[in-house]
Amino acid sequence: MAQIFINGEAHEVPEGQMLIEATDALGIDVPRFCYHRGLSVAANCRMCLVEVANRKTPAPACATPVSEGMEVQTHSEGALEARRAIMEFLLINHPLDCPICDQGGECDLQDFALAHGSGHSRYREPKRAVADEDLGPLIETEMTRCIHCTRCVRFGEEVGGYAELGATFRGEEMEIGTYVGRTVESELSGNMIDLCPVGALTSKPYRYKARVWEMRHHPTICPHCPVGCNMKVEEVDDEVKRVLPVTNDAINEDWICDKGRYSYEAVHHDRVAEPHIKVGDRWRAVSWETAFNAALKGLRSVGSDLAAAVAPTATVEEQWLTQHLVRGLGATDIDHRLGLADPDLDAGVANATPLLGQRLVDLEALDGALVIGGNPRKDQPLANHRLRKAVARGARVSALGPVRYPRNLDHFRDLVHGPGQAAPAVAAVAKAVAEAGGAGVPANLQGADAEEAGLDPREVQELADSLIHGRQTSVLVGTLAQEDPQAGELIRLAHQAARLAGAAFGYLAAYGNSVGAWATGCVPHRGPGGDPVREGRPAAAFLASDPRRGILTLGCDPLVEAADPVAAQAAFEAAELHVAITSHWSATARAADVVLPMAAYPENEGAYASGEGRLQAFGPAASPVGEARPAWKILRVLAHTLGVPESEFVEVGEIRERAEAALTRAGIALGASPPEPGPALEAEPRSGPGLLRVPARHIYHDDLFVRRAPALQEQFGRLTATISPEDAAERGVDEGDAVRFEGPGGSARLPVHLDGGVPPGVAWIPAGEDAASLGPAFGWVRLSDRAAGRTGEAVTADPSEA
Amino acid sequence: MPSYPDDYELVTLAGAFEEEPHTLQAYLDRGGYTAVAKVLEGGMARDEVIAEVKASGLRGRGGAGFPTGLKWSFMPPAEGGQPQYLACNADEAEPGTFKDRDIMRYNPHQLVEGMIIGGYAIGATVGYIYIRGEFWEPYVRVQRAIDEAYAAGYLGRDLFDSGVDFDLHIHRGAGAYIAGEETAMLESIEGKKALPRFKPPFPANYGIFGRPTTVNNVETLASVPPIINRGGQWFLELGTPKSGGTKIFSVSGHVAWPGNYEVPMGTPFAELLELAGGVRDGNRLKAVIPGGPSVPMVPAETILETRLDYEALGEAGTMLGAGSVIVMDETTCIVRAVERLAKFFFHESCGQCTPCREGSGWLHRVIHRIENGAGRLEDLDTLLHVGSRIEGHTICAFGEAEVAPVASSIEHFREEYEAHIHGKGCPMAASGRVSRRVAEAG
Repeated sequence: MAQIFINGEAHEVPEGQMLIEATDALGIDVPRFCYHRGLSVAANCRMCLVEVANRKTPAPACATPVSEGMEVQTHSEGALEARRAIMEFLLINHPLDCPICDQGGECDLQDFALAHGSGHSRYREPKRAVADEDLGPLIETEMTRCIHCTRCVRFGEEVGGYAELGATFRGEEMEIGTYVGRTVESELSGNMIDLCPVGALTSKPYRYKARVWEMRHHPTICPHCPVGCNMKVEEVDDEVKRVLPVTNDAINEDWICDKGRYSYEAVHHDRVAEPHIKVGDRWRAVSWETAFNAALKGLRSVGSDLAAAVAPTATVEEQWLTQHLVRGLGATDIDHRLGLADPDLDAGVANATPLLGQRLVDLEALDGALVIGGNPRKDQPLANHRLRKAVARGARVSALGPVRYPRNLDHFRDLVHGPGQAAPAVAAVAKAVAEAGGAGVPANLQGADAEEAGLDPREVQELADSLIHGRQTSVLVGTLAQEDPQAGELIRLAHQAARLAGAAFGYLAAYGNSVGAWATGCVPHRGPGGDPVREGRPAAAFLASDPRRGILTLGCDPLVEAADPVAAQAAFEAAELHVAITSHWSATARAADVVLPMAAYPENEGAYASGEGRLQAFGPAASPVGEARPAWKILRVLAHTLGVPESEFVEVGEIRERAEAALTRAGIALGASPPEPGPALEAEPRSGPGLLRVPARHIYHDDLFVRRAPALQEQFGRLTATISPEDAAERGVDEGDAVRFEGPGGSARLPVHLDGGVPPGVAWIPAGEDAASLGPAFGWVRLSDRAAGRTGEAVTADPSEA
Repeated sequence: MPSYPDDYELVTLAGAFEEEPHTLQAYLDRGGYTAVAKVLEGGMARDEVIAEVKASGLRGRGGAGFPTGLKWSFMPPAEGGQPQYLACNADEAEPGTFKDRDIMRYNPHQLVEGMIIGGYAIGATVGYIYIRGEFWEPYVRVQRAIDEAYAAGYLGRDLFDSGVDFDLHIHRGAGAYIAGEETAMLESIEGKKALPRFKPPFPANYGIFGRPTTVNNVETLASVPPIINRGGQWFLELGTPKSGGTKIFSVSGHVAWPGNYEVPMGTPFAELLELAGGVRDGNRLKAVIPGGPSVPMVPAETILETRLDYEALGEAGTMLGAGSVIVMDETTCIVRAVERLAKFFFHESCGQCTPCREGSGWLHRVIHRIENGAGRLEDLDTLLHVGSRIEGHTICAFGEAEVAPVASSIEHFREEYEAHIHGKGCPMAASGRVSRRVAEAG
């Protein structure tokens, strides 16, 4: 610590800290444009100039390290005069178009002009004007307003992971832009809008939608991924206008991803605004009473011959209440793992609650990690940011999966196994770890062979060494691996590898409340908190060959999201009754008999359990559209009316108490380790004809809510099939061709993207509306040959987003 | 060849007037590579080399005049692993400055030898010479010198069987003046846009690729071999007690014989002017910029009484800078000349920090308006005030540089500005007396 004097007062501050960090911590106001605590120091705006004793010139607080005895004046006449000068310089070429600028009211330049500037300008010369950039559907530009603080540029390089924006030209002609007319595609791009201290970068979907002083703010939690970013919804007169991050250093720091930021648009699109019943082939909007009567009649008729599919983005209250209803009716089939392709997972891994096994901040402190079958950059962007920070510190983070994803961090080893070799590849890693550990190779790994799994044994060995020799290492099972047809095998082998390496074991869960769904009993074999229940069958069964007479869906869209949407279609067709509780129209809602409109997440209240085991509650930011109601109220009416005991809930809090108790019994706590998955077995490869389909999800296409958000869908473009250049050449397919793929369930015509990160024998086709007709997500597909399939229709699609 | 007095000894321009002076053979004939042999074969310790340079009074010839030996002593001791660097600033881009060009053209081996000695002294095993992109012939000759030095074993591994390594590379600039600012140069060497870095950290702690680095000017480094050979005391005594050695002055503008003149520090300006053939056409001297456009100009009566060294020029209200003496005679319109300089600085501002990016254009536009008859009396105070808010507020010294010609010209020639404003135009252009030739050359 060093003693310094700020405005004559003595303070103890950490040695080596920059002055601005000290003043920020002490609550002393020093204005700044370019400095941001999450970015490197640029010292270019000069707004934070202060006076330091014994220095001839004013010093930038952001780039002046404190030293013992330093005397600083932050508000002396000299410091104020320096800031007045900077404000005058910044404003001479600024358009002063505040009345038509979206930044107005939350603009640092505007605020500081008031606090530090002059109402009068001496500048009588011509002003600069700069052509705008088209950065895509998410960010609007007005580059004449830019003050060249380079926060956006530094964000891209330092947080986003690659430089999409840069400064070209020199002096007064310096311009911020993309170098070659590209759009900005980082999944974190919206943060540049928050960082921009002026109105140069603003939100395109939010453009001209509101003035900031009109809006009310409501804290909320992002439902999409297990990070559980803290956010706020802003609304005017009950209409949601935008979503912004709320700083939480333990979770999302100052950032959120674009999915969390822009998905709110779905609140206004394709909503089910009134209850509907299907009469013949036609939909009829009806009163709640009529709809409830139809649903109740149907549910009474099917009785216990009922299955329920619950969204992993539903709240713990909704999840608890759904299983309460379903089990209260004597039914047993309930699941939230719609995409899970392994019907035997529960037999092998009794409890796969996808806890991270550590805190998010712990990821940052790792010095070695292996991510198996996942793309955290797109699946859990702000957990990935922690891994990036670890890599920047020198950590060796590796990946192992069926394809090599476009990355934004430098992997120590980025291994791609052969098609269908997911489990044997993990076994090969576990074996290498065992060999390096010197304690002998367990029997189930004796037969593992890196080369047979399509891996380079030397690289596997190096990866194993990095896990063993790190001080603090982790093995993380990614989103894709958790849904693999051999997920049970894979998870147990990954756990075995972690144990052999002395590494922590954890999951990167798929959705914002996957952990809550497990703990509240939205799995067929475990009740709330793991209580014993009469065991039912998983979604892989009841949404497939063995349907029930009745199906209840809550907030999900199995006809797109199921492990086999074609089989799910057959199950729906076979069912007598399908009650869909949903916020949006979807293929599933259209296939229902009764549609009950529920509140979308910004209109809802409840809580989510995050991957690191944190239960976070939030309240509604707006009233539900039309006649929609929070799902917990709908479920309560159904349960109560059907005579399910203990269903008289008045407040959401009463349900939360039960859900929270279940979470506690299930051992969900901050940083808690996931349960032991059971002993690992020998690994067998999968094989089949044609190309193995890898359904790794697309960040902007993997839940119903985000699929209804227009700007994100524009950024998504079209669902694209990515194949290897080798397979493409063999079949005469070029980049952008629309090609017919034949799957076990049927065919789909998709634009093709070629990427060397996909090995021969693999087609990376994310789950989605356009790919549902192929059938099993992890199935084998064939490309129709050029003559039959190619239409000559070129489709441009962005590879990095897939 | 200029008619130097007998007691002038050329140090860095030695050999400049011989045939083919840039070859290794010519340099060896002049006693080349004996200094580095004395250091490496003779077993001089690093500290002894630095002590000798400190004793010589050598100060940085790039413009700042920082004592070279002291700068060298800031380098941390070399450790194993990553290298430390010596970077030679040969990005000579200041208008009116062309001394380093001639050292590189005529005496490149002396620079190479100076860098080997400097590299040894500071524990650097890799050197870069950052040559201005427009300098083709100097680049060719320095590259040839490096190739010859490698072939002769003066560069590379285990020099003179001493266990000392030194590799030398050329990095060519791409035309930005700011790349001559030492930290911007480091960025450029790393392959980035040349933007000055904020200091601290200083290059001695965080230089090229984050490694300790010392940056020296061409003339500085070329002064080192003679200092080692003949002793720091000898060099010091060539000049004044506080400004040791000789200095090349690049004389340009309204003189009979523009060119480079290497003279002892402390030489009276009048003597230098005489060497350059005096003011052209017998005209009267009006003003001089003694150190390049980034230093204040001084009127004739002041400069004619001044000696050319750091202290004397400082007392005269200006600086030695890089020794770029721009001479303006009575036909010069000061406003027009300063308008050209302001345009230069406007064009060359890197744009990184606010006061310079926005202020350089402001200064230029106002002076342009005054020169073209649209000036207002309050403009002069605005110029001075804006200038005072640029200097001292920027990341690098470019801020001071762009203000120097504006502020000094208003201080010394305010009446000329006022004449432009009252007369709604340039009175000298109206009278036909203005020298367009030189004004345009800025």
